[in-house]
Parts: sequence; structure tokens; C-alpha cells
Amino acid sequence: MSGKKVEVTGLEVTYNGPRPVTALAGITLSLEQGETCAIIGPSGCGKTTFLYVLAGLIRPSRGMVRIGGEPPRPGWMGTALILQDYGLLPWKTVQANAELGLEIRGTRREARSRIIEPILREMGLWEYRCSFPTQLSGGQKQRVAIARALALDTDLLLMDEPFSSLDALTREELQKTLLKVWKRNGTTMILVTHNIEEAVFLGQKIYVLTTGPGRIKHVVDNPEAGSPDYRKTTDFYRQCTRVRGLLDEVFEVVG
Amino acid sequence: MRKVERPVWCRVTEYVLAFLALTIFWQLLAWVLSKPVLPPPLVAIKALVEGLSGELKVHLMVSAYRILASLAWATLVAVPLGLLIGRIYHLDRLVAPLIYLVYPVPKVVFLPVVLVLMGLGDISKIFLIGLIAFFQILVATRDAARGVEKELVYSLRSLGATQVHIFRHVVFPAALPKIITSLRIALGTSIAVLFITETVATSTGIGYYLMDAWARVAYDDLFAGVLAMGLMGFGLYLLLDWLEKRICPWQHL
Ligand SMILES: Nc1ncnc2c1ncn2[C@@H]1O[C@H](COP(=O)(O)OP(=O)(O)OP(=O)(O)O)[C@@H](O)[C@H]1O
Ligand SMILES: [Mg+2]
Repeated sequence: MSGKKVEVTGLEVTYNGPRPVTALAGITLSLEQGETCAIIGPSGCGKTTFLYVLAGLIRPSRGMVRIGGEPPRPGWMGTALILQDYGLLPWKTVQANAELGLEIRGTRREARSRIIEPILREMGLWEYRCSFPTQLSGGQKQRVAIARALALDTDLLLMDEPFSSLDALTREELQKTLLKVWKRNGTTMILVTHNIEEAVFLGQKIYVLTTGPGRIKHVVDNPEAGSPDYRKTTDFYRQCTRVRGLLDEVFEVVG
Repeated sequence: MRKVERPVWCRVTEYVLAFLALTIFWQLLAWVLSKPVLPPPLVAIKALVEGLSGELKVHLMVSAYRILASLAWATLVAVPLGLLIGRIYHLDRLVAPLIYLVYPVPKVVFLPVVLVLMGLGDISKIFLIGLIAFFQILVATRDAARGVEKELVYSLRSLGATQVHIFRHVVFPAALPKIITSLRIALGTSIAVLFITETVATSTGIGYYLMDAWARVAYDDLFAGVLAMGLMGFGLYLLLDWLEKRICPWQHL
């Protein structure tokens, strides 16, 4: 075992169909345990597909993917996937949604409540535990999704544009919550985002992807990411400008 | 999507007002026509009240039993089958042509065959009424199960869910409101079919009561029967509404 948490070599994913689509090609990257990375790129470059592969939901057509040295499988103990809008079940209350992963893994009701209560409290959701998702704001919904992931003792957190539908203040507040969790638990995080500042704030490595098929075009080392005050530094702005330049380049090629 | 929940008395008032409006309209029509074939509402209501403490009550109970039994077997068979067909592509490919061939055929035309094969008792009626409801519920359930968002399924699978978990936590609850809607539609059809099956070779049920009143030229009884049938349908709709609120609370926020 190499000691890497995530190892991807030469990954290629082709969706079969009447007209096969190659969504990803030649993706090679790796993350240490506790490292974070951000993935940014034009729509349709295969970002969601990449997360699905890491979560074990889609099989690679070619290449090798290892999570903690083993091929990914869905429900793999340490991996949690947070989707943009769809993760919550409208027919379950906040608490039931947050406990869902535990329930599926066969944890008993009392044990579930014991695990979930402190997490819901930390996320400011305890008063809302009996509400249904439609009764929540976007930020609250997103926190339920995070709570559900945290309940599972996650050591690999995969997030697909988790904060994209939120206003700037709520987004920054949730980013901080996420950082707190990351610092405390040493979670490995992969964050797909459209937001350059978010990528620079959270991703110790930033992968800029290009489309047709999705390839890694640039890798930006961003070791400062993860410090809460990073946003206030000039380095932060320099990095944002740099990533923006690289993205512009990609978009020029894409058209 | 969101419905404003009004207090109960408010909804009761609405129903009472609607009932009064219908009654007034009926009364006017009865005056204008002034023929025995359309008795005024009070006469019919009087006949209804009398009937409900006697013969009519029995017929009504029998009919209600037939409807409920038909809908029950149709639901119990159609829902699991519809969920499976909706989620298992190969099963759908196998079954869909069958459904589409049989679905549009008005099943009432099989009444004579069913009567011969299953006898004149309740079984043949419950079978035929249920058969029609079955197809309506089956198609609605299948489409609902098929329409479940892929992301919801992915999100559950990423938590380690098995197919059984996915049916229990996602597919079934996602389809439930649509299943209940299809039940509402099926209820209307069932009452119509019930009437037809009860006009042939039977001496029980509200359909029989209506035909009998007609034959006796007892128009007050006839309209008492119409009222009773309407009330039965109304009661069953209320039952479905209540059921929906109980089992789909997230739909009423
Ligand atoms: N189930 C599927 N079948 C066929 N092609 C698919 C399927 N899912 C995605 N694709 C294709 O694969 C490519 C990558 O899709 P993906 O959803 O991963 O992109 P994305 O980077 O997440 O885009 P966005 O930023 O818009 O979310 C797209 O061209 C898309 O059309
Ligand atoms: Mg996507």
C-alpha cells in the first residue's frame, strides 16, 4: 500500500449508449489522507462523473481507482457523497434524513439518535429535527446533507457543488463549518465547484478540467488553503486571479 | 405545489354551501319540469332517510363492500408490480406491450364471460371492478417509479443502500402520492363499473336498487338511490383524502 487515501491513474469513463460519450480521459491524481482538493471546470467536463466513480457508483472504463488501497464500492464505510440538491428525501424529516446512512448500515434507533443529536446541534439543526426538507432554507438543507455525512465517521468527503445555490454569506459560513470538521477529523475532501474563490479557499490542490473529453488541464498548488483567515490575505487574491486566468484559457479552447 | 391548509370548519362550510347550491338548482329544475320523473329534493331526501333505516342501507353496504374489496385487491397487486416494472428495465420491456394491448380495452365487455366463469356472486363483480382499477393503478405506479430522480437513488446507494433499501426509502414513498391520485381516479371508474355489474343478474347492491326503483316507477326511491350512491362516493373520497394526509404528510406542508 502506498499510503495514499485516493489514487487515480489513467482513469477513463465512457457512457455507453447509441452514441457513446467519453466523459473523462487520462485522469491521474492522488490525495494523502487529510488533504483537500478542488475540481473546477466547464459544465459537462465530467466533474460529477468523477465523484460518482470515486463513490463506486460508476465503474471506470479504463484505468485504476483506489480508495485507501482498494477499489471503491458504494457504501464503503469511510466515503460520503454530498450532492447539490438531490441528496435529501422529501418524505423524511431532518432527523430521519440525517440518520439515513446509519439506518441503512443497520444502526439501532436509540444508537442513531445518540450519534445524530450532537451533530444536529452543532449544525444548528436540532430545533428543525422534525421539519421536512421543503420547510428548510437552502443553507439548512445543505447542513442536513453534511450532517448525514458526518454521522458516518467519514474519512473521505466527496462534494458536488455543495454550496452553489446559496448566497455568499451562507456559503462562507458553511465553508467555515466544513473547515472546522476537516481540522478536527482529518477528513480527505474532494470538492467540485464552479466558484473560484471557494476552490481557492478550500482546495490545497486545484484541478482545472477541460471538456470533450474531460481532462486535467492544470494543477494549481495551493497549500495555504484551509486556514480560516486565508480569505483576507493578498495571496488569496493572487491565487484567485491565477485560477481565473487558467479557467479563461480553458473556456477559450472550449468556446 | 404548496397547499394552504384551511381549518376544518372552513372546508365543511364549503361543502355545505356546495350542497345547498346543488339542492336549490335541483328544486328549481323540479319546479320547471314538474314531472314525476324528477321529484323535488326534499321528497328524495325523505325517501333516502327512510331507506337508510331499511332496505337501502343493506344495498349500500353491499356496494361499499364490493368497491372496497375491488380497490383493495387491485392496489395490493398493482402497486408492487408497478414498482417492479418501473424500476426493472427488462421486466418493463417484457410486460409493457401486454399492458398497452390490454389497458385500452374496456374491461366491462368481459362481464358476461366473467359471470359465466366466476358465478353470479360477489367474486365476479369484485374481480371485474378490481381489474379496471388494477390497470389504472398499475400504469400510474409504474410511471411514478420510473420517474424517480436518478440522483436520489445515487445518493442512497452511496450510503450503501441495497435494492430493498432503495425501494423502501426512495421508490415507494416517491410513488405514494401518485398512487393515491390513481386510486382517486380508479374510485370514480369503479363506481361506474359497479353500477353496470349490479344491474345484471343480481338482487343486491345500489345498482340493483336503482334499476328496481325504476321498474317500480318509484322515482323518489330512484333518487334516494342516486343520493345514496353519491354519498358513498363522497365518503370514499374523504377516506382517501384522510389516508393521504396520514401517509404523505410531506405533501401537506
Ligand atoms: N448517464 C449518462 N449517460 C450518457 N452521458 C452522460 C451521462 N451522464 C453524464 N453524461 C455526459 O458525460 C459528460 C460529463 O457529465 P457530468 O455530469 O459529469 O459533467 P459535469 O462536469 O458534472 O457538468 P456540470 O458542471 O454541468 O454539472 C457530459 O457530456 C454528459 O453529457
Ligand atoms: Mg455536475
